[in-house]
Amino acid sequence: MKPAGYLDQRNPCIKLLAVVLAALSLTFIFDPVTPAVLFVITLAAGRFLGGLSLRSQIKPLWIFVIAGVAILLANIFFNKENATSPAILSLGAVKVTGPALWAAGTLWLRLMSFALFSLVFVKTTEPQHLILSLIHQLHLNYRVAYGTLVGYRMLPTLQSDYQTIRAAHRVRGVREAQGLLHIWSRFRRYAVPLLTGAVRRAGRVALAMDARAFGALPGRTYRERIVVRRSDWVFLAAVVAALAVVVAGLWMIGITRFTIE
Amino acid sequence: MTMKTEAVAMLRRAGRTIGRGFSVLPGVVARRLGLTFKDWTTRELVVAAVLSVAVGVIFWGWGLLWSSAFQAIPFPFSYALVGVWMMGGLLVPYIIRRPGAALMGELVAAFVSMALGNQWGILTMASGLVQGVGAEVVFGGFRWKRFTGIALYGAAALAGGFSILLDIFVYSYYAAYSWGSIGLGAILCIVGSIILGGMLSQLLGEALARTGVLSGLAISKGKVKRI
Repeated sequence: MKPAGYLDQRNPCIKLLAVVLAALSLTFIFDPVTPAVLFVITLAAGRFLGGLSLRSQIKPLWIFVIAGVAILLANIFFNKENATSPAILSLGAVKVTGPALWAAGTLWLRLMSFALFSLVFVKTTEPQHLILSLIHQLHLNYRVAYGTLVGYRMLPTLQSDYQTIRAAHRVRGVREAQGLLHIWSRFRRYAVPLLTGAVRRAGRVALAMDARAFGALPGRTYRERIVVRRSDWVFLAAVVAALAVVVAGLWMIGITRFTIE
Repeated sequence: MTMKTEAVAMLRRAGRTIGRGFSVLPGVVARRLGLTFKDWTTRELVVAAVLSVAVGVIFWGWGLLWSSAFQAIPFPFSYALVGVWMMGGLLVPYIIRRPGAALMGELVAAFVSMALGNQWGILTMASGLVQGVGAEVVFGGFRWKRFTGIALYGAAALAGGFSILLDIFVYSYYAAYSWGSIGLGAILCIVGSIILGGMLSQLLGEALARTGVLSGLAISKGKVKRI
């Protein structure tokens, strides 16, 4: 268990609000530099405030480089500005235009930033704390919240069930049919036993919860109460200020754009 | 000095009021709409949660395929495959058949697929919200009395429609593509949602009901044969 960093100690709902605000502001920005700067700032925040190594932040994002290449290709071939813009680079019949590169870079870096924001959020937030915070701060119905937490807790069980089913199929010599036409039959062969097992287990858990009078009373007591401290508001203000400084600063030196063009 | 402290106190009071307003608002809206989860039994709640989490894993796997293999499909046509992401708001209400099931199923599934790590991060929750609301609105339009046939496919269609509307805005499609191709994407998205979201949910729900494991839940009423 790593020591709780600054980000780990922040109120989950406030942290979520900060992430939403950062992501929302990015959707109004149409240049690749601003999301790149926010990406680097988030990396640094994850490293120094959340105690996450750079490796653990970058590695899960590797697969999305493929998506970046695809976005680039899509824009080179289909961007509607291509017909009217001069080519920066010509590869035979294909011309690469400035607007295509610009749009691809914007979209890809926007996606990478979204992915990193939520990665840092998920890695610095305990699911139990998030659920408790949703109950205490957003007044989510506690039956729904705890029910959901129980479901979430079964995620590792689902994984081990999957391996069991796979092994059971293997030992009985079930052949894995390849190809597109067999996707449904393969899906069904795993999904049905997997979900059946999960539903059975859910039924047993629910019985145990009922036996403990879960949900019998409108309110309940908590061993741990998640509160919003002044430091959480300071954190939120700091995030908003950082966003404003980055966007305004880059806008003043002529980098940040709020329109397409 | 006193002015300053008074101003600080006023600001603090204002902040507290706004904060409280925001935190109470979702509950008030939910109560108004009748989404109080009062009729739900504990078993229905936990089964819904587990199903949502399982659908979340499907979402995540589909997202990995999307970020790799499906990138070979260019923009408007790729939207034919988005429908799978409507399943949370369709499979769960199809099985549980209670107010709020669509919203809960889609939101929890979206959260799980985000937490497992996908390309869209926090935006997954926004998609989950609009898709869940889209499905819930249609089921709510039927007073939560009908969850099959036209209600299920209508919910799938509206969830798909809301989904691409959000994407057009969030990913600035209007900036990069012509409205013609965006329109084609919307049609493909809605049709794909009906087939990959609605029909797949129905097939999977019925396959599960046939095993008998859902006995006692709404989907199995009058269906379970005892020997």
